[in-house]
Amino acid sequence: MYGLVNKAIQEMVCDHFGEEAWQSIKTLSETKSDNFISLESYPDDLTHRLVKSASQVLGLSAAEIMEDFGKYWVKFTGQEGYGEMMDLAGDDLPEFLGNLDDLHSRLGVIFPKMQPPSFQCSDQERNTLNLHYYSHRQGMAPMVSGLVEGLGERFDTAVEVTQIQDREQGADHDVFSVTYQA
Amino acid sequence: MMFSQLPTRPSTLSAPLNYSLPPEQFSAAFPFHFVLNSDLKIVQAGSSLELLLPNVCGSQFKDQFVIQRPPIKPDFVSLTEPCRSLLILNCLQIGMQLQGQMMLVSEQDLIFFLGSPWVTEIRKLKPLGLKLNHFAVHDRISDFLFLLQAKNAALAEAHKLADERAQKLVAAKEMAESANLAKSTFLASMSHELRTPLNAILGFSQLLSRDATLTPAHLHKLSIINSSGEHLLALLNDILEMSKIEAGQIILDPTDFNLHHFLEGLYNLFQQRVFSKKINLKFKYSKTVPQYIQADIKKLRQVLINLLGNAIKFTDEGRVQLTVGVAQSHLAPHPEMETRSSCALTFSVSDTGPGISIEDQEKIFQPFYQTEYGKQSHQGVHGTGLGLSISRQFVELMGGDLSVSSQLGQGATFSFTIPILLCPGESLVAKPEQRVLQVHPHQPIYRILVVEDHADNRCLLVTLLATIGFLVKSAQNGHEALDICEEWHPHLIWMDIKMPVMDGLESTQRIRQMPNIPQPVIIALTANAFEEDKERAMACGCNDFLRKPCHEAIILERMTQHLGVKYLYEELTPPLTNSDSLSLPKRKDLKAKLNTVMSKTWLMQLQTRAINLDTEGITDLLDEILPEHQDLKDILVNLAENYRCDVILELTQQ
Repeated sequence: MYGLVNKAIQEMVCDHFGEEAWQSIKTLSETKSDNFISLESYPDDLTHRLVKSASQVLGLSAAEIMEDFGKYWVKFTGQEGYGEMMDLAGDDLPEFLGNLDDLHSRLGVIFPKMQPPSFQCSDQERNTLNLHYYSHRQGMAPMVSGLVEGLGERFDTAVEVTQIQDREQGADHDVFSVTYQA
Repeated sequence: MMFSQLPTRPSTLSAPLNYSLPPEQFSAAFPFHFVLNSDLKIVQAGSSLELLLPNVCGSQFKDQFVIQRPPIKPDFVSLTEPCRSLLILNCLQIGMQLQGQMMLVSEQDLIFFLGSPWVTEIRKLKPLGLKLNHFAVHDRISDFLFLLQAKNAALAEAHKLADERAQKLVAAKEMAESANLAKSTFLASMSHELRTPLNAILGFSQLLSRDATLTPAHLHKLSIINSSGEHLLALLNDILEMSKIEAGQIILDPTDFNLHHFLEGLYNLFQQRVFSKKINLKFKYSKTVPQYIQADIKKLRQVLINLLGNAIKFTDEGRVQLTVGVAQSHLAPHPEMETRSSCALTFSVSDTGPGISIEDQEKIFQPFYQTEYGKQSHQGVHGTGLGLSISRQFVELMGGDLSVSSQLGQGATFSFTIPILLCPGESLVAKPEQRVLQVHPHQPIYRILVVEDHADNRCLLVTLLATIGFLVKSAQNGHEALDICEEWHPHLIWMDIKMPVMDGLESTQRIRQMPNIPQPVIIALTANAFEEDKERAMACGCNDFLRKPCHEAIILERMTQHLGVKYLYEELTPPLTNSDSLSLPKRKDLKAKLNTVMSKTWLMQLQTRAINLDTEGITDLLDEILPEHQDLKDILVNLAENYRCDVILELTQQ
């Protein structure tokens, strides 16, 4: 996982729960570095440890943390110099979700160690669509819900996300029903 | 409109394909393309180009574009020529550049432009209304922009990190500096607090030793108090010295001196110490070692005292030797040495002690480091562990390098070579070693004011000066001093600096502003030990500056320096309980005098009786010494009474 992800976790914890909480999480997860470098590749294991430790320190489930993180991720990447890339992906939520896979494909090209997930939209109607999420990583589905909510905030659009198909329940991928203000 | 694609390179495996693409597919593949007819009218444009230039279809090429490269005319023939070159077009309506190539479809007299916008910053796309899906999937321009953006973000992050680290470094530096300042303040304050009582201890023990009614046992105990006080002062000075070295405040202070006398003095100092040990102390230097030199005598003395002291401390039996020699040195000469003759001297202190392990040989020069042997076998008597560290720094300051060679069980040798200047001997006047008894009678009566808040120290100085014969008054603070000055007009003021009510600096300034009194000499006498204290005192109007504790001889010498006071000295009659107290220079003087005033025959007789340990016969012979050489006779009688025939023998040898 690129350092950008760990950096976002750090900033989210500091923003929402304070520096002290982050220090506890850092100690608990045995994280040595003071600063994560965005474009440096870190073991996935470190990110998992951070989430697990955050869950213990903050008293939240891993799913809750991942959902919060998804929401924060949109804001964070927008501020960390990737906002203009996101601008290219669309001016409204459905357009953005439609371009989400292309965005990840291109990011995957320029960040070769990224192993990005894949997204597809289906059943698009006036104010609903189904978002299909494919990833080799486990336990990231809650982040997708948060991510879509975060995008709703980015485009100032009320949005409701429901997971309608779950890989953990045996499906081959996760599907989310997204309802948004037209 | 249909576009027929004819492959330029015929395949050898199959027949050339002749195919066409529907316009919407062609537009998706080349969203920024346009097609010119033979009149250079734009007859077709891709969807993204139409988005950027809404009325582009039907317009003339020259109304929409200017050819930036290559330098060709905007006519049909010219535009068909450079089909293998990169064509750069500037859009006239919007600030955008298209890059691509022209392709001629000759059957239809059409020119196709295939290309896309060229931007180098992703932020420039948004004002144009361009997004990812406006570019062909195969077009790498968006990936290129993504990559550039990611690199820019990384660069910004690196700058931010570097700034943060620089800030942290600055903060750490400031913290270290403030800690260092706190340490200096602490040391200055500790130094003051420790020196003040130490001044009283040392001063009173010196004063008490003037008391003629004291028994030898009392004198012995007094000398222990004094030497312990001196030891404490030496430790305190070590710590201060180290802090000064760390603060870069140590400077070289070269003076002219007699090296041979200096070494003899050192020898006498250490002869006392080896007396109780089975150690043979030897100082070895040849006649080629120059006698009169210029060097920093205080630092040289401190280094040699430290090295000899260590050697004697760690050697229980055997030999401790100081060897001084002229070095065949390649040391770079001092800048000052160009005009005066110079040489380099090597000093080596070797012992037959336990030796130092290879691991310890570098560590012993680190501050506060003590070897295990040192800690175990000399519990309670070892110092701060700063001596060698200070010595090495001093030697470096003098232009040399202190090194050690040793093997466990084989003793150790510390040596260093320093450059020195040679100086003419006549410039050096030997200082009297006698003790001051009183102020010489044929002199004015000097009024001396002692300003000191610390009662014991005030009493000490007042007693000393009054005993010597000065007229003395005292004040407890700077304010009291002002009143006394005005009424009593002292010749000289010993001024403490740190005092309640009014400190010495302010008092000095106020005295200097008094118009109607003869201005006294003011000497600051303070327990503050730092150079800046001296500078401050001098700036406030003090004539001189002495640090406490200060030996009475120095106090009296300064009064001579500033007031021209002359003293009467006690007779030079050293107690000759052993040969050590008859120092080498004195022995040399004595020998020379004996050779001058007594005949060779008489000297031969004295030598024979000394060899035979005939003290009575010696005493008889001594009666022949004339009364004008009574001092010589007293010394020899003393030697005979103490059975020091060995010394007498040495004095008679040619």
